[in-house]
Amino acid sequence: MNPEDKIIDVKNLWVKYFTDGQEISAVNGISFSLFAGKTLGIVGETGAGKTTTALSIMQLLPKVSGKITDGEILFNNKDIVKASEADMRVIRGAMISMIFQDPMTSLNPVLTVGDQISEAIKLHMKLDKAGVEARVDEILELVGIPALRKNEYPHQFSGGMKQRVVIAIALACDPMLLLADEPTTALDVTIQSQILDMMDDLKKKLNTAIILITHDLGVVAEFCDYVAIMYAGEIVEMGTAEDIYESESHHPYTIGLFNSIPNLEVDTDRLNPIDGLMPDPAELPAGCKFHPRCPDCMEICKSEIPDEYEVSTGHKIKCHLFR
Amino acid sequence: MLKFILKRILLLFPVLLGVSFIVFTIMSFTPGDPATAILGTGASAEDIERLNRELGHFDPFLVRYGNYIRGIVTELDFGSSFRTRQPVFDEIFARFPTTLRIAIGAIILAIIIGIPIGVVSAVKQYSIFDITGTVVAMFMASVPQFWLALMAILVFSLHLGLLPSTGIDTYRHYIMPVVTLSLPTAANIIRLTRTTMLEIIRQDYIRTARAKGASEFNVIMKHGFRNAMMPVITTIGINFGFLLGGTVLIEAIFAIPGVGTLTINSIRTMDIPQTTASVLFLAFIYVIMMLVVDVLYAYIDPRIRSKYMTQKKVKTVGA
Repeated sequence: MNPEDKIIDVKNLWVKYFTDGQEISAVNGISFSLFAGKTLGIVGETGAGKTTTALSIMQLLPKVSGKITDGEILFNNKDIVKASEADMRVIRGAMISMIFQDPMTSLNPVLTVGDQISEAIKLHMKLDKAGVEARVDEILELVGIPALRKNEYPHQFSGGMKQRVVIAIALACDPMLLLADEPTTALDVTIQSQILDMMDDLKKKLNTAIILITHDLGVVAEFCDYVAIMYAGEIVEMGTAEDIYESESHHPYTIGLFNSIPNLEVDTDRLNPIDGLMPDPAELPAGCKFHPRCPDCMEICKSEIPDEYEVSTGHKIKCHLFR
Repeated sequence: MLKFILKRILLLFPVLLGVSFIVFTIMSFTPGDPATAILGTGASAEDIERLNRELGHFDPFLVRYGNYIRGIVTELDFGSSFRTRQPVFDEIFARFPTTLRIAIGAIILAIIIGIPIGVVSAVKQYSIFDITGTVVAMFMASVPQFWLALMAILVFSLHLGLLPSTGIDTYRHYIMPVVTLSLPTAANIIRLTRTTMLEIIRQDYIRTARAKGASEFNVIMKHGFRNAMMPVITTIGINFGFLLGGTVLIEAIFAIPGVGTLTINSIRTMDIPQTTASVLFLAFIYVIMMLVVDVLYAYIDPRIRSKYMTQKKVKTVGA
């Protein structure tokens, strides 16, 4: 494959949930793309639409309530929004795989860890029985679990080890694109860095593209090539990690996010959160969705949805301040 | 595991002792006496008095109970029926195969009906199939069994003449009792399977399975169903226990010589040894069924299995 090719190219994606007669706009026209071997961090508060974005790429939105209402998701230049369920089953687990948020509930309690890993291998790789077992052993060792433990059940593993198993399942078939949905949120800090180091190794070894979903700006700084800041279903700022961490121009929400990180050198009694709450996704405000909480809010923000402005090459901000 | 089973079997004894005490007490405090029951009301007062003395009827209650238990422990003697003068278990064992066949038939039919309907109802929630299934289940659970049995006789025996209405000589005699018995159990299984499956298919690990690219059938059966089995198996076990002991109504309607009719008849005729033995037997079967359910639990769920095993076996490598 040409390294110039985009692995994933999301164009103007809209996702809505329909529940109890309400229409909830979870993702509102986001676009991003990613090359092989690169990592995109998607950062935002709970409810910003990060997980929904990932589930859309997997085509695993809740069948009854979730729906992609507009946009394209090009995976290897093929639009998977229109792909059939049978086609998706070939892609899922083999070419795109996902690490889920909560390792405690993401594993089937009645199947051995080995069975759960080998399931994907059996489905997607043409291997004989011995080959499958060898692959399971290999992938377990890769995530730092002794291969002997494959006959054990999830309840015999600690939280960190379970997350490794979840990662092993995701990596079993050498995916081209890995969606990691807060892979370390449920884990303590020491395990967190081990898991991230491991994912970094894999990226280098297998040239996998990774979309890392998190609300931890520290993790993003360490790990990601590109960063997208999400707010109320929109990407409000996107750029390289340098753009986000070192540039002078930022979306007010990004500034707020950084300010809310406690600073060890300044002596304060209180944390410094962004004022106000995330808007109700069933009733999003008109104009810029951040305007009710924005310290730099202008008249125009209340009525007009801002365009995306490119402040430097590749660094885009969706805010009227940069008109 | 073996240790667990042995422990449970040992637990049988206090349970059965308790059951025997309760039944024996109730029977002792019911008005009437064994000799009258045996000889009939036409017998002379002296004969009745003599036989009652022989049977120990005038001993204090605890002495009578003690003698009963001693007979069981020392000679495995559960007494003889007042009515037939035969050892009580002869009668029970003669009738049990019939009851067992009916119960097994009913439970298998209930499983065959209940589980597929329950699973499909859950997977296709709010579909026509689901709504129909739920309504049918509600109907089957709320219609009284005796009414169903009588209607079945009316239609299939009286009007259509397809099936025999009483007795238990050929396999065709089994059809109506088995079907009428199985319906309420099937309804229970449908409802429970549906509810449990609905909960299970919303679990994260089901999403994980889908994310691997597993087919929908595999996701539901391999990942969902096995997890949903636990409560379903409990219900099946409990219902099977009831079917083994509680087929009284159906046995009465279809005139089937089973354990249920035997128990009812012995209560009616004040046949204390027979009643106590029948109830003890049913309690025994019931406890064994619960043990089977528990063992199945361990077979299905490794978390429970590891609780039964010793700590050393659970922690294998690098735990």
